[in-house]
Amino acid sequence: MKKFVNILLVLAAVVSLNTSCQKEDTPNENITIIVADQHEKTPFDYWLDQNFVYPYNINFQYRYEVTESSLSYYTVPADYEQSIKLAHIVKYTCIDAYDEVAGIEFTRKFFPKHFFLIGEWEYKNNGTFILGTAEGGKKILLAGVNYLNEHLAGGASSLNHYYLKTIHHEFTHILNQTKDFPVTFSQITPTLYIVDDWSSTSENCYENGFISRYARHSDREDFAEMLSIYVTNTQETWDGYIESAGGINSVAGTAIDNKLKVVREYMMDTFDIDLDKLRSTILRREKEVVDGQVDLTSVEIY
Amino acid sequence: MKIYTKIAFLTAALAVLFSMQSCLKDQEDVFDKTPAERMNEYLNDVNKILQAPENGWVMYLFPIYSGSPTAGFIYTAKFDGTSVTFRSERDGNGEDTATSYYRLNNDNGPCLSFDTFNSIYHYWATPAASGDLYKGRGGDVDLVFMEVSKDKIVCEGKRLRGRIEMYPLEQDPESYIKECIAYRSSNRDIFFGVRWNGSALNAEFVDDGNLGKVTSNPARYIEFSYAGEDGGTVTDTKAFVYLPDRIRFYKNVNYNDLSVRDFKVDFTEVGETSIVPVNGEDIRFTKPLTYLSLEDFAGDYTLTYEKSWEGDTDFKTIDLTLEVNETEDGLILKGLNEKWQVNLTYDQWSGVAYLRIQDLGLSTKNAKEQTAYPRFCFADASYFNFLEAEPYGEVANIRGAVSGTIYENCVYSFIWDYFNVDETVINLRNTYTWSSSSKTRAANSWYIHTYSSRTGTTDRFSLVPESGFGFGAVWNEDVVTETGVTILPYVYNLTKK
Repeated sequence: MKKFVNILLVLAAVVSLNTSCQKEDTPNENITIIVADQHEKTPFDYWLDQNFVYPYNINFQYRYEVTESSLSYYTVPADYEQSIKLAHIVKYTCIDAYDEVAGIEFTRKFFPKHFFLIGEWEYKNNGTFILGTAEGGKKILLAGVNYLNEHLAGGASSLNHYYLKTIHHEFTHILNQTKDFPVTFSQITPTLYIVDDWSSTSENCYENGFISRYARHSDREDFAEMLSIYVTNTQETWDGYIESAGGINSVAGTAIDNKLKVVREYMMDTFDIDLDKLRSTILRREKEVVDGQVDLTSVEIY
Repeated sequence: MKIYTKIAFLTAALAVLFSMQSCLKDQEDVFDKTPAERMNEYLNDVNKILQAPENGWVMYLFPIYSGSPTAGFIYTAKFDGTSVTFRSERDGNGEDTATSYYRLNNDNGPCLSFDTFNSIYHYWATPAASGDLYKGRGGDVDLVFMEVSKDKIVCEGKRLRGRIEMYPLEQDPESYIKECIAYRSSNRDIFFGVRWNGSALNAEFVDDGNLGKVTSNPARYIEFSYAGEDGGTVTDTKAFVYLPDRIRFYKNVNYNDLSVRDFKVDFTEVGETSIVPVNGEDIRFTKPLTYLSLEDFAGDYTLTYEKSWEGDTDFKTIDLTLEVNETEDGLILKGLNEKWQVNLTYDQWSGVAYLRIQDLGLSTKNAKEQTAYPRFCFADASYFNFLEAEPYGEVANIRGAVSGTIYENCVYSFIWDYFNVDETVINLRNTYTWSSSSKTRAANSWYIHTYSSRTGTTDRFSLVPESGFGFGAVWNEDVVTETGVTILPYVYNLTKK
C-alpha cells in the first residue's frame, strides 16, 4: 500500500509540474518596454558625444532631471549656453590636464563618469550653499552654472573658487574612494575637526592648521581641500596661506605643510602623479581659458 | 487509513486540481499595447498638441510659496517640438522672451520638464541665499499632466503641486499679455464686501501693486471672512489672475452652495452693485461707502484764494469746472487758464480721482529764452530737481504719478507760475532763481498745495467735491531767507457750487 502511495505522490508531482502553459511566451522584439524621453538631441549633445562620451565614457548631463538632483534643496536647470562653456572649461582645464600629466588611461579609469549640472547653488537654510558634491566615486554635481559668465569674467581665481576647485575637490574624494589616504594625514590635526560648525566658527582656519574654513569639517574634506586648493593656486598664493598660518615654522604652518607632504606622497605613490606638475598644467590651461585663447562656445564637430 | 495515506491522497487530489487551473482561460489583454508603448504614444500625441496652436498657449501660473497660492500670473508658451519660448506679464509689457529646451518624459506619470534654464519661466523656482528664498519662490521645474486636450491642458507642479492651466491663444501673445496688464491697471486696489448667494461675506481685495516687479510672496487675492460655526471669524485667501476682461480665481470658490470661478467689473450697473460675476451667478460685490462716480465729481467749482506778493495781499475768486472727458475714464479741470486744461485720472474701482503730474501739451519760452515745456507737477516730491542749465527741462525727469507718495494731510504742491489766473497769457514774470547750495528747489515760484480729504482713507490723494479740496501757497523757507522775501502761507479752497 505504502509503495502505491509513493507512486501516486510521484505521479502527482509530475502532473503538477506539467501544468505550465503550452503557449510560447517569448518576448516580442518589436515591442518596447522602455519609455523614451520625448526630446531630440541638441547640437551640444552631439558635441558631448564626440568630446566626453566616446573618448571617456563621461555623461555630461546638462539637462535637469529631478531624480539626479537632491530633493533636500530647491534648484533650477542649468542654462544651455553656459553649460556649453562649462563643458569646454571642464574638458580643457581638468580632463585634458589629467591626460597631459597622468595619461589618458588614468583619466578614463578614474575621472568621474557622470557630471550633473544645475543652474543654482544648493542653498541651505543657514545662509550657506553647496558648490558641488560627489557621489559614489562616479558622479559630480556642479551647481551654480547660471553664474558661470559672471565668474568667468572674474578671472581664474573666481572660476576656481566656484567651479574648478570643486571638480578637483570632488575628484579627490573619488580617488580617495579608490584608494584611501594614509591615516597619518588624519593625525596631523586630529582634534580640530568640527564637522558642521565650520561655517559658524569665528576661528581663523590658517592659524589652526587648515587651508580653508571648510577643511575643518573632517579629515576627508581636509584632504580634498588641500589637494584642490594646491593645484588651483600659484606658489605665491600658497605661500601667502602659510604666512597667514604664522609662517612655515609655526605650529599651524608646519601642520599645513605636513599635510601637503602626505598629499604629495599619496598622489605620487598611488597614481604616479607629480602634484607640482599637475598644478602648473592646470594653472597654465586655466590662464589660457581666462585669456580667451580657448573657444568656449563652439559645438562644432570635427 | 493511516495518516500518511490520507496525506498522499489529498496531495494527489490537489495535484489534479492544480493541473486543471492553468491556461484554461484565454486571458484577453485589456489594452492592445504595452504600458511603455502607450506612454510613448501618449507623449507623442501631447507633444503634437503642445505645438498645435499657432500663437501658443496662455498659462496661468500660481506660485506655491507657503503651501498655497497667493497670486496668479499670466505666462505664454510657444512650443516647437524641442524648445519653448516664454513671455510673461512680469516685465510689465509682455515684450521680453526667453527660449529654452523642454522634454516630455515618464516619471510617476506623463511629465513636462523645462529642463534647461529659462529666465522667464524659472523665475519662481529660482532660490537665493536670503531668508526663506533658499526654497525658491514657489515655482516648479517639472509638471505632471493631469488633463490634456487641444482646448485645455492642466498640469500640476511635481514638487509643490501647484495647478497650472493652459489654453490655446487666439491672438498674439504680446498683445494678450498687454491686455491683461491693462485690465489689471484699471482694476485693482479696491475694498468691498460681497453678498454671495444671499449671505454677506467680508471681502478684501488685495493686490501688492507691483507692476513689473515681483516680491517673493506676491499678493493678488481676495480675503473672504465670515462668522464660523464656533462664533469665530473664518478667513479664506483666494488667489486670482487678471485676464484681458475678467478676473479668474485659482480654482472655483465655493460659498453658500454657489461656485464661482470668474468675475468682472460692470460699471454700467447702478445702485450698490459695481461688480458682477461673468456667468450671472448670484454674487454682488458692494462699492465702498465713499465710492464716487465720475459724475459725482463733475460740476462747477469756485476757487477762492489769497495771493500775496512781497507783503501785498490780494483776494481772488475763479470759477473752475470739472468735466467728464470724452472717453469717460477721467475728468478735465477747466478754468485755470484759457489755453490749458488739467486732466484728472479716475480709478473706477475705488472711486478716486487723481490729480497727477502731467504734460500740458505746449512749449513756450521761459525768462531765459529757453524752451520750456510746462507741466502740471508737484514740487515737493523728493525726486523733483531743478537744474540751472535747463530750468524747465527738469520737469521731463519727473514723469509719472506721485500719488503713491502722498499721504493724507501731508502738504504737496505744484508749480503755480504757469497758471497765472489773473491773465490769460502765459505768465513768466516770476522768473526762477535757484538755491546756490543745493539747486534742488525753485525760488520765487508759486505753489498750490493740495490736501487729501477723502473720508476713510489714509494713503490716497483724492478730490472729494462735497468737502472741496484745498489750495495753499507757501514759499520755500530756505529760499525765502536767501532772497530776503517774506511771504506767509495762505490756504485756498475749491468748493463745488
